[in-house]
Amino acid sequence: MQDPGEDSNTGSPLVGRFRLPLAHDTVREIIRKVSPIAVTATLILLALFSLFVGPVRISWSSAWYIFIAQFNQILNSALTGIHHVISQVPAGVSLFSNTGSRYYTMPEYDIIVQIQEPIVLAAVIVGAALAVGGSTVQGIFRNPITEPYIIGISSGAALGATLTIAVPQFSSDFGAFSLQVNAFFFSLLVVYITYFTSYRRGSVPVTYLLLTGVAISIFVSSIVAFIIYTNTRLQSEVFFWLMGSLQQAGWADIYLVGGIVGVCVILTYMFSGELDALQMGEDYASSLGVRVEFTKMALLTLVALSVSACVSIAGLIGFVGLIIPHISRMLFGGTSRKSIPWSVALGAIFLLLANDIAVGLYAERVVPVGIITGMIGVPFFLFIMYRLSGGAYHA
Amino acid sequence: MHITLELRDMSCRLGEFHLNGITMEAREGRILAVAGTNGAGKSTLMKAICGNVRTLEGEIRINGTDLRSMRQRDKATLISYLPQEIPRPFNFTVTDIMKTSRIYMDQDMGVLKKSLETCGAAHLVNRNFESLSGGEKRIVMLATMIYRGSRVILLDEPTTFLDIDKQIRITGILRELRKKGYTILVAIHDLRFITREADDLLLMRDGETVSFGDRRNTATRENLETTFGIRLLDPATHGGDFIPEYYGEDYLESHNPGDASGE
Repeated sequence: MQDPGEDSNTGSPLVGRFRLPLAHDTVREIIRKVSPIAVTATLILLALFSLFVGPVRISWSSAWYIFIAQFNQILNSALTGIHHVISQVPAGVSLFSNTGSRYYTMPEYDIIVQIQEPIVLAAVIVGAALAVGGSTVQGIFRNPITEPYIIGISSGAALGATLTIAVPQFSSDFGAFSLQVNAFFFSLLVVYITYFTSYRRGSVPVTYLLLTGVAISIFVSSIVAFIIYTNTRLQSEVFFWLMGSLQQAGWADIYLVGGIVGVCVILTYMFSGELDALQMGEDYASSLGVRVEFTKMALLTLVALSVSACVSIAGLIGFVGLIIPHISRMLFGGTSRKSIPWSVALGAIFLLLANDIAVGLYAERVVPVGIITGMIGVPFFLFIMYRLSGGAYHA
Repeated sequence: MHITLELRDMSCRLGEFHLNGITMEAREGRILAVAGTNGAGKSTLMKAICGNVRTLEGEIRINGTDLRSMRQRDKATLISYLPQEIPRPFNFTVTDIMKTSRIYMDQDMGVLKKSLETCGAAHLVNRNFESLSGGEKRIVMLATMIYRGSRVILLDEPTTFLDIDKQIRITGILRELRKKGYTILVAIHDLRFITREADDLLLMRDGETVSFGDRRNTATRENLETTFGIRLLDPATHGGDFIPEYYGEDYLESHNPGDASGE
């Protein structure tokens, strides 16, 4: 993962003021070696654990058989597909056949496969998209306090969602998915209005973009507030959506949003070098041959697409896009080649954790996860910043 | 000596600012100092040469090839440009910083370390860039320009904000590069560097050339006074040094602070 030249770090960002009875370099070496494994293991274990956080208690043993049953089902549908093309392949097999099959019919099977798995995957996808979006936007704006919502995504999505609930004409076209579709397209619309309002003589200066984004967001949010104010019957419904929640996610959402986010994150990663050069200043990047305006527009489009898609299924979950990129940079270094992949993992972990708390806090109801992200995120972030940044944020 | 960079009647525009009919040549193994007041067009000139600002008229040639017909990415292999502002990326090590200069080329840790060594900064290789002093940052950025591997280097005010010791170190690095045959263009406000160190001079004022040529012929009292809008003491009575009248009695009497702001 890391090339050997970077390994003899003497001013590592990791352990600025850590004081442990071990030699400084040894601690640093341990943290650097352990962090990738620790983060990856945490992600996998937490995702598995989160499957069982819910109102219904499911025993570990039935969970095991449910997974086998699900595996069999996926395997069999794949085999059936191949069987149509190559007839030698059997149309169906059943591994552990004497134990697995009867679990299809159990209510626990539906709870795990139809309810919990989409929620866990939604947490992973939304967390990853927000964190990568934050990393990208902070890089483009060269500003540590920006997040993906700042270019108008959140207010646009809120407008789309509010209109769907308030105005019947907006909800007819896509049936049950009207809210998601409207949230998605309205957030893209507001992003592009922001972008083209900031256009000055062939370029989009980031300061204009930032200020225009803030201004237009406030404008659109005011419209949303006005609509909510004049329709008191909507207030609880819209309020819940604005706070953010993963509980409505289903497999259809996961396929679509997961696909969009996956493609956007991979494309963003392919711009790692350009994003690093942009962080060094636009003149510097341009002199290297980076097509600055094209790169900015492409990256912002990717952020807008992936984050809008997430907002459409999960509402407005704040804070992930602001702090996770920083934590990722503090732990793994600031270059995009590292900060993007680790933002994916850390964003997923953070949102899984927040969602587990949101679900587990009360037996009878689920707290909007957007409330939890701020509550657990801020103290954790302040701790990381003061103890681990190693002077990277002093200047 | 071999002419590497050549401008013929080059004009360009950046926002409301115009640069008119600049003609100059930069040669291998020589330092060309670009001097003038703030807003004279030094930075715009450098941006035009490296291709960040499009030229309206005239030619920019490097080793005889017209730069305007070249892709920006190919220009980047011939010319390095160090902007005036010190970059502030999030949590980059010195190595990370240097690697950004070769995002479209292969990285080579050996060359990277050698570039730092040339600048006497090998010990900084794994330091966090933000933890360096202003002078160290500038030196690292100079090493980054060397690491890029192009033989023509444009430096926009590399000594601004630095203490005298760091200014001397930067000058030392530039001498070293000159010896190695680099072509160096440096926009600079240091009168001593302009009149003693540079090989060639381009003096600019309000987007136009005041004078261009070999330092010995160009750095005259008259040219410098026109360029900077100041008065100099007679060099003959000050050991050949150009000293602004600021240090003399008359200057302080004739310039009250209210007048000094106007350019």
